[in-house]
Amino acid sequence: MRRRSQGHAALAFTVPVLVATFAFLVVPTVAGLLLSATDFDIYALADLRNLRLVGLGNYAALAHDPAFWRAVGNTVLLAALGVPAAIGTSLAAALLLDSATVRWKPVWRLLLFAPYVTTLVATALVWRYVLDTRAGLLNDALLLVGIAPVDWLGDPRTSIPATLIFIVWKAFGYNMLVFVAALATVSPELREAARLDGAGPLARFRHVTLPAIGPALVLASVLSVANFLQVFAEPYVMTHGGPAESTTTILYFMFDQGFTWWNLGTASAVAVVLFIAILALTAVQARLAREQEWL
Amino acid sequence: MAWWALGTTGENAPLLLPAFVRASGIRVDLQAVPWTGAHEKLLTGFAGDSLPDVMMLNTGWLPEMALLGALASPPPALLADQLPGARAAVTLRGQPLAVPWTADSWVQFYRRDLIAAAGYAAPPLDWTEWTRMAQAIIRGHARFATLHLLDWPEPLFAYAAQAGEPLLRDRDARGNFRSAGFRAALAFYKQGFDLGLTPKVTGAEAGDTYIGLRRGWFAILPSDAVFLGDARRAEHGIAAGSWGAAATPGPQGAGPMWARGTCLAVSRTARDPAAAWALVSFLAGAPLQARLYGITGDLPTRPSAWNALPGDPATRLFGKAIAGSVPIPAVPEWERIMGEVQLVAEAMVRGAYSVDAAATEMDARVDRILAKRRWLLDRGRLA
Repeated sequence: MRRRSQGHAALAFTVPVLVATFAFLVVPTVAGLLLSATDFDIYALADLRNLRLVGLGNYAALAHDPAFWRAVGNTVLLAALGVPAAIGTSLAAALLLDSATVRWKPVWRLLLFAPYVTTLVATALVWRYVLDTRAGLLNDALLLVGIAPVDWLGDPRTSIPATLIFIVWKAFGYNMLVFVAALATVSPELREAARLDGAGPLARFRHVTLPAIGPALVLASVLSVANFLQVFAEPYVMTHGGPAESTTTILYFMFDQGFTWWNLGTASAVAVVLFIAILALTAVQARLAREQEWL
Repeated sequence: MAWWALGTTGENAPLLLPAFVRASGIRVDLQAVPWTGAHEKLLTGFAGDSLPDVMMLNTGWLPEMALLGALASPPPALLADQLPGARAAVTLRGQPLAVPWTADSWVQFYRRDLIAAAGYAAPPLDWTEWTRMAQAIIRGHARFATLHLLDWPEPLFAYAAQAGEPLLRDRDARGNFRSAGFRAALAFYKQGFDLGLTPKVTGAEAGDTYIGLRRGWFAILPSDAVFLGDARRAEHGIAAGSWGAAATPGPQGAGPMWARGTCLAVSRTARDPAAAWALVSFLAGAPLQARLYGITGDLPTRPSAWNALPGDPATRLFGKAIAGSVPIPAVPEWERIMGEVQLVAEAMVRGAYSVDAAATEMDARVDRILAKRRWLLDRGRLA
């Protein structure tokens, strides 16, 4: 009797979650997969009889679409520069915060974490002013050291670095907190022992600190890669994908296809490709981490 | 009752409504939508079955809305007393879909002092002489002669209109951008950048175009009628009498311009169609069109409203351009085609293509966009 009521309770707790997961995760994912095999567009939106099954046609078309490859290139560039920059910045900030010489730690932690919790659109607008060619703070500062004004968001060569500065500034706080927490687990005795044995700062970081924060590093890298491959709102607000499509990311391309032009077939195919890419990259990272015995 | 209004007109719509609400007792829930997000908001609204009862539309979007069957047919009475071009722009295959509200065109607004300093009374209307003037301007007091923002399709398409060749061919199912006329327009557009007559910038970097004009960053601002309303507002600092307006230059003098404008449509799913049409009837009436001109500079579509307008040269210029305007291709993909063609044009300006290679690339991309249309036409599923 008791066991049965326990079973009921367990069911009552799990069923809502299972139903929600099924309705809002499994069904849309499967629908997206099916949609990617059709040419759903504005004509199909008008009349479903205009829908054609195209099998892998959308994927073949993507493979030959220079605009898609442009978006892939931009995204890969963003991730290749952005992931090390974001992790490096947050690790450096965390190490500084962990240092015994720093005072007012909670205040610093708050200030450095603040960008992460502010509204993205509002901060993107502020950064647009900072990066402005003629009146921006960044160019004013560069002028002080004798560097001519740079057209940050207008020049296709600088638009990615400029967007990156903003993304890293916005995102590094989260990983920083993860690292701060991980660093707190490194026992002071161990560090002290290493120091007495004559290990310099670099050797102590390599052999004492790094193994301790390894799992946190793996987490940060998996999350950062996934986030950088899904950059959308920053270019949407700051550059609308321009200039010359230089900040059109994969997700921006997908949004444009899907919601500006209602080519949902193409957009779903992009989503599937992105999903597979992120899954594969995460698997590679997990494997590397296991080799380092960090997982 | 819900109404979506767009752009500057939408921002000023609250000034128009009180008289209607007082007279009819109908409460109107107005939402002002900026132009940049309006198109996708309308399509998403249709897909999500959440279109408003009344909507202001760019007339160029009507083929798309017609394809979706999203709009109710307007009562014939509302289409009387309209300029022929305006009525043609809201009619697809003989079926009116909306009520014309504002008419527009594309002209060049210029600073009199900078043009005079270059030795001209007004910008010349043919490409060769115009270029000579523009070169004189940049040797003189302005950094640039004009401003063709790289994310604006309008300047290039305005020159294409002057060239006078159809932009699509083969039942409007293929691009015609390799035509001699369009390539000439494309070459003139590219030359503006190559000679340093216009900066290579997009809207995001150019910032406020009126500040640029005021400070003499450039001397000529091509624009639609929104300039007429903005020039009256003190915050833009454009002194009355300091500027003039001239038609868009063409290969041999000014030619026709695309029919542009907005219209008011009622959703097929409007809860109270009679009330919705009452609002459209009020907004699109001649007295209100004349009043709207006074507020935003939006030009009327009704001849009787034009009679109430002042006879200043800029307004007369628009009147002439609107009367001689030609319709844009009536395909649902037109908005996307313009965007795609402009992307290629931007890449060309930045050095990725020659004029001929750009025209070939435009045709290739447009043919891809129109592939589904060709398939439907071949099977007789599209009239």
